[in-house]
Amino acid sequence: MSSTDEELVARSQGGDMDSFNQLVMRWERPIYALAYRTIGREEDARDVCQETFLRAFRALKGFKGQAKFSSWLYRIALNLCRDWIRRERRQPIAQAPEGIDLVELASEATPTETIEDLVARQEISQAVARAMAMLPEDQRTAIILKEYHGLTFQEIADMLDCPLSTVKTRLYQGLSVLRRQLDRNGGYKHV
Amino acid sequence: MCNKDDLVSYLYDDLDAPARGAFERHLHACTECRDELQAMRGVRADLLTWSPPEPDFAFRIVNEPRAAQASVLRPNVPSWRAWFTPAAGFAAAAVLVLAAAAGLARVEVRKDTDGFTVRTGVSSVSAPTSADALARVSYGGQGRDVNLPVGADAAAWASIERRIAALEATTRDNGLRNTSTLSARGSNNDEVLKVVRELLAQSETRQKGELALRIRDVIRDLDLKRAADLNGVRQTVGRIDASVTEEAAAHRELMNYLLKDSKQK
Repeated sequence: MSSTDEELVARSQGGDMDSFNQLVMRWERPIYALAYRTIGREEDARDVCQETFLRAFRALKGFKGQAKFSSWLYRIALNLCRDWIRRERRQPIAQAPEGIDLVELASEATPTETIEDLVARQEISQAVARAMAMLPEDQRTAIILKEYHGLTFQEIADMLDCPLSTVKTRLYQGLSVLRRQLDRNGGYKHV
Repeated sequence: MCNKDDLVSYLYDDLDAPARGAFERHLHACTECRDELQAMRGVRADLLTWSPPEPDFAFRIVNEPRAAQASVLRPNVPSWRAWFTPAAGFAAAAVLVLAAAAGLARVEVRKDTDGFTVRTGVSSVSAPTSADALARVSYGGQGRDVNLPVGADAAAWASIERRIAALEATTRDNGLRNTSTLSARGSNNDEVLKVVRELLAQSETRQKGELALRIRDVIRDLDLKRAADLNGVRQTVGRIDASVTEEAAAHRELMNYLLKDSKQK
């Protein structure tokens, strides 16, 4: 039976390096995904992910468990992403996936999907990436945390230091903008 | 007035039972909210198609007791890269270049009556031909060797002997003086060795500097080449992307046409 985050954190605070590395293995993908969707660059997202765990490790003694360990990690990662965006002084980049490999796509197909469906799905994915990159940072962050990481409204509000109603407003506004953008780019869906 | 917070809460299934019931009653009456809810569910479905690329990192926290900081993140790099640090690379390159330079430059340390000489550079001595073949003979029983051409005739020998005898007579005093000078120089070997060492050190320092500059140039050239290659790859990917998109659009049009056609039939 695997240990909980809280147990691993407690052992890490006692100097058990393996326990912390278990936390790294457990959370590296979600943190990387958060960074990638926030800043849109693969290499930089990897750097942010590594830096997140390094900072977490160094600050671990000061982590008192007021929030969930994952929320604490998310907060560190988001701060690093913000630093990156400010440092680079630019909007996140909608990084184009490495072309469309039909063979690779076909291997991902569910039995009911045709190759046309797969290509369409890839196109929607690219359109989503582009539309997300155009959103204001606060709306994008709210959508990422809610849609892809399943945080509750309250967890997002705590993480972003804003009222719960503000989180809902950001989500509503963000989804509305995405809806317009995707309708503009993706009328093909409704063929 | 429609409550957008409730719409969002309903969308994410975050309303308690009474609030949920109330909002569903509102939805029955409000077409605008119904359409909006439908559209946002569509957006959420689209959002699910966007996945990040699969990361290939596997860094772990490791202890580095010698380092000032307690720990570092250690990426899982291939084994050949683990030891190939920049410092090791520079050191290996420096050894190779110094060895090659010493071989090519033919470093020569020579001691003669003018003192010590350190010389580098390719020697221009040509190989002797058979006509120039030299024979070694002993002269005057004084342990001095001279080189004479093979086949020199008796007259030439006699002439040489005479000239040497004359030179010995006229330079005996000078010879004694020269010998004393050489002895003085010989007694000063430590200083001469020190000079040689300094000259070698200077030469080594200069070569290291040149090596560093050359390596910097190579790295810069590689970076430029890499940037150009990346740019080329991006352009190619862009072209492929555009062509595939165009092709897909054509397929869709064809499918639409076929669909309409089959419906008409």
